[in-house]
Amino acid sequence: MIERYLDIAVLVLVFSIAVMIVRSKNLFTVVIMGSIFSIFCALIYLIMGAPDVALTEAAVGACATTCILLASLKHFKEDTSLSKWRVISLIVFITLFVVLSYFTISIHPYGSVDAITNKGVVEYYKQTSGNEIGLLSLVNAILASYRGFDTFGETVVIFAAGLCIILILGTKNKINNEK
Amino acid sequence: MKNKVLITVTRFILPFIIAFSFYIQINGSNAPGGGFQAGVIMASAFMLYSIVFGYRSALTFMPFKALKILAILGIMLYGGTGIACMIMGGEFLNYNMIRNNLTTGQMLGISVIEWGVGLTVFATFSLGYYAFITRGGNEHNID
Repeated sequence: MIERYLDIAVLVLVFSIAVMIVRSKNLFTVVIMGSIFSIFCALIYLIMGAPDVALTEAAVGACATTCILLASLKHFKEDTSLSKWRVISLIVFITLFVVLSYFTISIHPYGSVDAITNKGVVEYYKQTSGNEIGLLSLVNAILASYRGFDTFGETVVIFAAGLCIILILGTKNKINNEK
Repeated sequence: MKNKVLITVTRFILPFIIAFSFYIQINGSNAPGGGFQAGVIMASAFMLYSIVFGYRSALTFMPFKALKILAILGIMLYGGTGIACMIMGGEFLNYNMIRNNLTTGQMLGISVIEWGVGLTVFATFSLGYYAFITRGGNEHNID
């Protein structure tokens, strides 16, 4: 029962932080509020029993993305009014809200045996990964061995994203100018 | 940035962040975590250093060229493990071919590819951050 109250409390916190993000005028405040939002999302994942996802969310969402956004923030001028996009963003928001709510109704309850994510090959992984892989962490056994080819593709995608950033922004603008 | 409290706290906390990153990288097979998380935490340590002490001092011991080489090295470590498995007679990324024992080859292969993922993620996140911070623009927000 107490877990249910914890869930509700954290969700109310996340919702209020999201409202504060939308209503704040300063971009710096938005970035810092986004970091706090990620921390509470990590807390929700931890309550739901997914420490791997919680660790990733805390590291990527709260640390790395915030640092990169802060670094990109200095390319903006002080006055960044977004008022001319207000109608478009309202339309996008309402559409997203309706679509997501519609799909939320048809989702199975959390932890249900009938859910499609708990069927199929999951039972095979649970039973045989101890003998075949020998790792204590089932997540890493699936990620690195059973689905090793997918993880290779993800690593190449991350590398390609970094390559695109370098190609677009360049890496030696200011350093060469100052010498 | 010349804030004494910030500099002292950063000097105190940076070794712990780096040690936590290595712990997650090495212990990833038995606990939550793995190469991706370790790489991101290590990159966050570098970002913290370059925010507090300025990116020029961060670039002296980790220049762009080293980061690019690290990113390519991670990909090649991962792909090289797969190709080594092929040379030893199995399929691509079939770690059972590394050792004859049933699970030893799997554990060895997984730890090697986790290092590859960690290196690539660390180098890519740091490169993205440095690409933004060295771009120019008005200087007074950070640094």
